[in-house]
Amino acid sequence: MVLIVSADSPVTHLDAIDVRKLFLGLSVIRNDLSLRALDNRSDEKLRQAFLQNVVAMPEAAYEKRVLAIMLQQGAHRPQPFATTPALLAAVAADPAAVSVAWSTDVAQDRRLRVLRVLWRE
Amino acid sequence: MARVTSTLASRIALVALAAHAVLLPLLFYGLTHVVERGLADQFIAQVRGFARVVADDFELGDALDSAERARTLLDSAILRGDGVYAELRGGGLDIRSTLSAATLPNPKRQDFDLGQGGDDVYFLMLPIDHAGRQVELWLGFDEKPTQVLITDVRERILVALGVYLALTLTLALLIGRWLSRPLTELQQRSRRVASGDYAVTLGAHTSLREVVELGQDLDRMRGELVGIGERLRREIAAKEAIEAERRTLEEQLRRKHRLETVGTLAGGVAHEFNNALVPIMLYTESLLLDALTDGPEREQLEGILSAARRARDIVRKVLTFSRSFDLTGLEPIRLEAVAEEMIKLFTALVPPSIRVERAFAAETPLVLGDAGAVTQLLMNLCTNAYQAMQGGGVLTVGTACIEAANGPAGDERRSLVELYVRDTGHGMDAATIERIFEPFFTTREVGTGTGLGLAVAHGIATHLGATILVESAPGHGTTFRVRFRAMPADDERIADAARGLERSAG
Repeated sequence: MVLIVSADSPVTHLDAIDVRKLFLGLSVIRNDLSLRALDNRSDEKLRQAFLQNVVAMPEAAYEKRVLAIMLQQGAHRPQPFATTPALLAAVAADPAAVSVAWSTDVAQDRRLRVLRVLWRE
Repeated sequence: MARVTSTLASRIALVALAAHAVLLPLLFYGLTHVVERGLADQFIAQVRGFARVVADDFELGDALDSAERARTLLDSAILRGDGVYAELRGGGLDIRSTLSAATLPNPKRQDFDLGQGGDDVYFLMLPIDHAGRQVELWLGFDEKPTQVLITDVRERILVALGVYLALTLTLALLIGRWLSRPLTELQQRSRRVASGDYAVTLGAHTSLREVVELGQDLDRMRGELVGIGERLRREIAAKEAIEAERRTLEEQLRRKHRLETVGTLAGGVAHEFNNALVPIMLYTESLLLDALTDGPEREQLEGILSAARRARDIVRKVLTFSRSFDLTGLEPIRLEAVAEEMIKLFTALVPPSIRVERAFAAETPLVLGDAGAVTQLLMNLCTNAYQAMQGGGVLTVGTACIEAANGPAGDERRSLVELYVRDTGHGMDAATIERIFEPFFTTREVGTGTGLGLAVAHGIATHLGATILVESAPGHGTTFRVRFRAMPADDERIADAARGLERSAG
């Protein structure tokens, strides 16, 4: 599971804390660009790996935490995507977009760029 | 197949038990699932959060710059949490905490939920990107405390549900008894009614409308059934009375037929016997007229004539019994007047040890009869009574007005005037009563009575259209009752008799 951005994105690096903040709906700014997290829900195993290694919470706790941050800080929850192509297209189209995907799904996609590996099987 | 019955209380308890047999397992598994899921999520949140913090320390700090510091941080990771395994791999590192109490399975496994792998250890791996070095942080956490907690909670839920079931069944039994109490009361009252206590009202002291209305309905049924029962009892009593009267009438009819048969036979014999007596008496009287002087022959003729005359008297009595009695010219008579005349005559004839009493009813209707015949009837009855009281006693002659049913249905009534003779003599048994009116039947010694007195009385009563009854028991005296049909007040014969009396007085 890798962290991906658009090939046009100015972002070159995000550490683990930034990634977690981003997917909890908190604001992360890089190069004067407010990053936007996209929630990949196309695969259950990817989802479990994301919950364990990125946000480090169970599903229910993650949903509760996101909701609390939305209500407390007026943040936007990550936009969910049910299919990988739709997600990849959305990431490719937005330089501020950040998401997670299987490395096999993005390896040949020149519209995208891998920032870091988040989990290995 | 017989239907199994049970009490309302046990039925409610059984229904409650059946319902809970279905619901409680569902409730148990539902509750335990919620609790297990909650505890598992809590464990996962804890270990994931803790692992993330450790991984961040490695990624953002400088622990990876020194193997010793890295090992210290790994040991710290185990000491701070429920960690049982900590290891750094890759990027030229292979550092494992000396405090590790578990072994990473081969092949390596990462868990995403509590209980996976079956080794009571939750393994997870976090990739660390530190200064261009790609390192894997492997951590393992002990699942046993959480699983023990889950087992403990499951047992507590089981106990709680068991207690709940016991309380529910107890409550169901109590509710069942409370509900069945008015029904039991109603049942007891209905059983009292069934046992004959019809005064008991069917109802129960309860506020349950259904039971109250049931009691009211049953009470209405009880009222109707009691009414029907009373009517049935009255009808049965009436039928029994009619049946008894029918049996009495049959007995009277049978006795009458027997007496008629005897009377016919006796009358025929008496008639022939009378025919034979007439020439005997005529020739004897003729011979007596020819016998001018006294002598043995004359005495013998007078003896023959005397015997013939006694035989003639007996023949007359037999003829009286056998309908040969001449009862022409019946007229309205008052029984008290006839009885009074007879008593005056009879009182002079009986010894002082016999006390004759009168018990006449006031204002009795007239009856159609013959004063002479009634006098003879009464004389015969009184003579019989006197003979039954040789040691003395009380002889009562009385009258009474009675109403009797006319016919088996008893729907018409007729007025009767009863003339009765009661003695305090030795009484009679049933066998004697059965034959008392037969001619020549007597309980007296041979030669002291002809046995014709009561037969003649019966014959007179029959020819007068009256009935004669006898009531007697040994040691309790005897009562003869002669019942005449009362004449209606508007009968013309009464008016004619009154006019005749006025003319004779004028």
